[in-house]
Order: sequence, then structure tokens, then C-alpha cells
Amino acid sequence: MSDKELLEKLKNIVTPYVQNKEGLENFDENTDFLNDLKINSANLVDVVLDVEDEFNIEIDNDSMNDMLRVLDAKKIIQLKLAGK
Amino acid sequence: MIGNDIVDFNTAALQSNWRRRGFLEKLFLENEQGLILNSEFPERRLWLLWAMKEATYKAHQRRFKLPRSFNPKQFNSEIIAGDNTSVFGKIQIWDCSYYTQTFIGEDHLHCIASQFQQKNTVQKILTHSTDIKQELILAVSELKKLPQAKISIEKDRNFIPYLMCDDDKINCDFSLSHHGIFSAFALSLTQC
Repeated sequence: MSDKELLEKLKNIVTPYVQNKEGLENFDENTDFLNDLKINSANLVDVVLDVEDEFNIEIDNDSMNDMLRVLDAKKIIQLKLAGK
Repeated sequence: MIGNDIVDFNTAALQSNWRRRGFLEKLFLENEQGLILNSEFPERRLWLLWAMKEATYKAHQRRFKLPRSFNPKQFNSEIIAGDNTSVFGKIQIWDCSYYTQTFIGEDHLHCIASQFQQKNTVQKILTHSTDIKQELILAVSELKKLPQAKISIEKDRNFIPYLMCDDDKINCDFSLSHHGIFSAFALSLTQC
């Protein structure tokens, strides 16, 4: 899967939880789920669960701890996909 | 150090489907899942425990100047005493204990966590307002006898807010929280 495809999938996943829709306009690796998109912290778990479903991977607690930016999520997804 | 968290029940019901598969398991330890599922009002209990963890996370992060992390299962929460309107709790993370006091209203709850059992704080809850920061600045200005116009709220590299008066950092222990129509602050009177 290309980086572009992965980012596109991630964008679709987070969109329902985004409180600051303007943050989506500049969605890239540096986008921060909390600061830029204003995703409520309780919804971070939904992002993690949706990522698990979409990519058919399991995200352990340690990986979940770091999923605060698009870049972090991308790295974790690529790592888990490579290990499958 | 203190931390606070506010939950708007209506917003929470709209934003989160807590019954979805994996939701409870990713956020709560087994004993906490039991506390939720065995409760007469599981949803209220869930947001109570969540707010206890969030408020403690803020106090803990500020105390040790930690980078951000989404690690709710490292916070082990316990309900010590309480009823439907007020709950006293305790949270353990690493080898640290924190104490929480939560007030539960009709449509929201507000939790304050502190390292100390006897905390001395002021708190304020606003609805339909974006001015909680101004309210905090006003409270600090009165407490510290500083001109309101010179006080500002900044964030450090870990996104932890702190207060400045012109170019000087104000040594002050506080916490901000927003959810739905509610916003709140807690301000320590002993460490400000």
C-alpha cells in the first residue's frame, strides 16, 4: 500500500471524530489528532478500533499510547502490516 | 499537582458508542470493566472512571513534565466512597497515588484529581462559553494580585499549559477542561 493510499484511509477513519474540520484541509503526516483536529480524547479509542478493523491488524496498548499524530499512526500500521 | 476533567453526558452519548467491541477493553482494566458492567448506570459509571483517569493523567503529566501519551490502562482507578452526586476515588499509576473528587450533575460530571487527599482548590464550570481561559486569568489575577491584562496562558513543548505575567512565568498549579457545552478550570490555592 502506498503512503498516499494509507493516508487517505486514515483521513477517512478520523473524519467522523474531527471537531475542527479546517484541520482536515491540511491533513498530512504532521497532523496532530488532538491539537490540529481537536479529536476528543475519548474518541482516540474509536480511531484505534477503526484502524484495527480497516487494516485487519491488532494494536496493542504500547502502540496505542503513541497514536497521537498521523505520522505515529502510519508507522504503527506499517509495522503491524509488515509483521502479518 | 492537580488535574481536572469535565464530561458532558449528552455529548458523550452522541460521540461515543461505548458498547462497540473493544471499546471498554482498550480503555479500562478488568476490575474497572467490572465496576462499569455491574453498575446500575453503566454509562455514568464509565464516564466517572474515564474522568478520574483523564484528570489524573493531567496531574501526573504536569508533575513529571511528561510527553503526551494515550495510556488509560496505566491508570488503575478505584472508587472509595460516594453516592449518585459525589464520588471520592483513588488512582494508582507507577508508584504514585492520586485522589479524585467527582461531582455528578444531571447532564455533566466534573472530576478533580490531586496528589493530596486534602486538596485546596477553586473550580469553575461554564456553559456555552469559550471564555474559561479568561475566567482562569481573572481568578489568578485576584489571587496573585497581578494585573489581569498582563496574564496570558501559554503551552510548553508537551502541550501542558502554564501562566505568564509579561515575561515571567507564574508558579501556579491549574488545569483546564472542555467537553460539549461545558468548560471548566481547577486552580490550586496552596500551589499558586
